[in-house]
Amino acid sequence: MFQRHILSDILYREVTASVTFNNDYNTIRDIWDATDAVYNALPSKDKVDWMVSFIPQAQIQQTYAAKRGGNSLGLTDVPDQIGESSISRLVLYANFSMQLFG
Amino acid sequence: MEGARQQFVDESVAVAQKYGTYYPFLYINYAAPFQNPLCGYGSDSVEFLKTTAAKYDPNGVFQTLMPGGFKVGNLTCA
Repeated sequence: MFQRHILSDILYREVTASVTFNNDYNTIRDIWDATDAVYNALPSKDKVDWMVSFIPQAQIQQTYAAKRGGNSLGLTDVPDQIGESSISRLVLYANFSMQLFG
Repeated sequence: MEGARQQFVDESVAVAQKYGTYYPFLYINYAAPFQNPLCGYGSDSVEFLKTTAAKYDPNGVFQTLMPGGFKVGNLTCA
């Protein structure tokens, strides 16, 4: 399943995905290398827009948890993120977006 | 495209599990249709979502007629 968009005269399709992990250099590096290999193995890169980004857990999730109670990750068996600065925040999202134009 | 997306998920999860850094929580804004971000909110939150949906949408309009997104109606978490 993919989303189909029409932006003015440009038609493109987009697929996305996300994986969450603890902030760790080796993990970041190996995910980067692995996704690089996936891109390089694409049968065609023409009109492909490929993006992999790493972002820390959103502050709003921590704010919500702080107000309503509960772990900001919704998990009881991992450390909470509340109070962590964005730089030292434990959890990162690896977000994937691939757009195919035309 | 679907193959590339599945590969991204499989490879990234494998890496995170290899280093013991994998978290089951998923960022819903980017989650793929085959991923299950609602369960990542925790059992209490899932129950709250189901109760709220049942209260304000007893006929399941948003569970059955609204296309796309992730639905709580038939959600089953491990």
